[in-house]
Amino acid sequence: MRAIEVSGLTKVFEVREKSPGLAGSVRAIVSPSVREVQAVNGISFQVDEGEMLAFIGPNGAGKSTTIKMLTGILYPTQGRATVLGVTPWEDRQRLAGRIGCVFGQRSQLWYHLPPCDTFELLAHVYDIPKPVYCDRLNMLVDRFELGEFMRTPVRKLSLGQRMRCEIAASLLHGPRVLFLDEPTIGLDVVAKRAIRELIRQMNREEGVTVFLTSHDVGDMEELCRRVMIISHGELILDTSVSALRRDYLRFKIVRVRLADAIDRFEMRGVTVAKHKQTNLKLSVDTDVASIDDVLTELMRHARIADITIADPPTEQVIADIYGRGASEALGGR
Amino acid sequence: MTAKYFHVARVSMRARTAYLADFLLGSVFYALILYVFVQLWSVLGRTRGFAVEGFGPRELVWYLMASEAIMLGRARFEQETDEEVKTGAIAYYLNKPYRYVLFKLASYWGETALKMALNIAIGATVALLAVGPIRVNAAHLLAALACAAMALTLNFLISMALSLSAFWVEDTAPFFWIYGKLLFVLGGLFAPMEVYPDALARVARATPLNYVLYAPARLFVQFDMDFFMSALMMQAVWIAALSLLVMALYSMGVKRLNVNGG
Repeated sequence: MRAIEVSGLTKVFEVREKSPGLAGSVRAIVSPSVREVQAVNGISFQVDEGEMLAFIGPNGAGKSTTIKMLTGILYPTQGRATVLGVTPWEDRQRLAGRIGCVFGQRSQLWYHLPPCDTFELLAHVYDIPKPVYCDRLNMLVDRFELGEFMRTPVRKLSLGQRMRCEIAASLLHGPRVLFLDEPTIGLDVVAKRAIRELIRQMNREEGVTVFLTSHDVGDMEELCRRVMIISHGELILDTSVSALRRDYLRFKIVRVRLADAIDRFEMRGVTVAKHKQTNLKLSVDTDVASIDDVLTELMRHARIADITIADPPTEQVIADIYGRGASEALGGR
Repeated sequence: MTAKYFHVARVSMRARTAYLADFLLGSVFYALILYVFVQLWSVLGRTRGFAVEGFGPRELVWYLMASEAIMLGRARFEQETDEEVKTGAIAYYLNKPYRYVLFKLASYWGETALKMALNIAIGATVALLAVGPIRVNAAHLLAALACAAMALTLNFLISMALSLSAFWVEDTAPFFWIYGKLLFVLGGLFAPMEVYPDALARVARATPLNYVLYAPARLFVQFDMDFFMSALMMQAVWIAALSLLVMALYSMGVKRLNVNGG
């Protein structure tokens, strides 16, 4: 069964423009100039129940606008969408009880109060019967390991602890679809791993459909089987994460600081992006050379003082996808 | 349905007391204002024959205690709402199973009820020590409290209407500055309408501001059944009219949000 069905969803915003100076301000009042911005342009897709889907794209790509339309916050300019059979913007109050939302840059927790107060309030807001609420809360506190800071004011929690509370709060009423907008933004590696594990658990054990937007390729790789990439409001790729990894994420960025300076470094499948005495930045095509081989080769030249291995930024992946042509990419699924 | 809003009010009350020292310190300002006016009215009271339609220095101090309790007791939510409108954060309330304006009203009442209770306790103590008691019976006190509850709801609606104007204007702070000053004058913050020149009193009575401060404060000091009934009726009329205005502004604003984005 489909959890989300979207067809030709389009959103056009009107942005008022003003010329500089006082005259411009007066003109803007007398005859305002309005520019149309196409935030989302006729996207169509379906998400099955229990699926975990990553919806990624650079800033201003239309991710948040799409999620806002799917949660009933915004009306589309054109197109149709249903979430659990409900048109979100027509019946958002009814849908509210069946979906959960976490917006990474916004909090639903009361800042000066401990999380337990917000949880209790949410139980009333969502009309959760007391025994159901108690069971559900105990389960979430246990699973998300919230016990030690349930009575600590939110303002004193770390970002990772707060995000665990945010996700637990959005799951309190047992939603069937969970919308996560940048849930790991600003978190350190340990906290990111914990959050990802919790999302995975909830999906596995409760069959919650997860619709995730993120800048972090790691979220997509570790959580989802399917990924959609949106850019300039258009869906430019809808494919499996394994296909994306194979086709687009095979490059790794290796930054290395050597104990001694070397003159040059050459290896098949490795491009030296930057070389300054002991510091090297390498782009490694893992289809041609494994990271192991690269490290072995580096150590033949000099001792390694420090090393970091990272994925290329999403923007670069998207630029790469664009480079290959959107039409080719759309046939990828 | 109403239970959830009751709990919003309860949580808002808890949030307000999270910084108990700050909360209590806020009331020191109120006590200070009362002290200054006690001195002022005492000097006026020594002027022979000073009394305006039953308001002597003692009544004026108790009047000020009541009007200031409301003025300083009302929760200040406007800056937060202004920010929510300007940043588009208001949109995040839309997909929750409650109504934004009712959520804000409940939150406002949670904080206001607490501040009012504290202000009344402090104000009554200062007034009692400074000028002694006035005669007031339990039924009249209840009537004045009912009128104060209506007055604070009226204040909420005026403030909400001004806050929602942030959908169209860059900065609502000047509106609130003007509203505050109008409450001083047309609301009758420092003295009842009986002290005002007739023309100004007539203008003041034609505005809802008069029913935010003057009506409940006067009922507390000088209860009069006719005045109580007419004040309550006018408050109900203004509440109904402003509720319609707030609903219209909110739905127009949300529509605008849909056009311009969050």
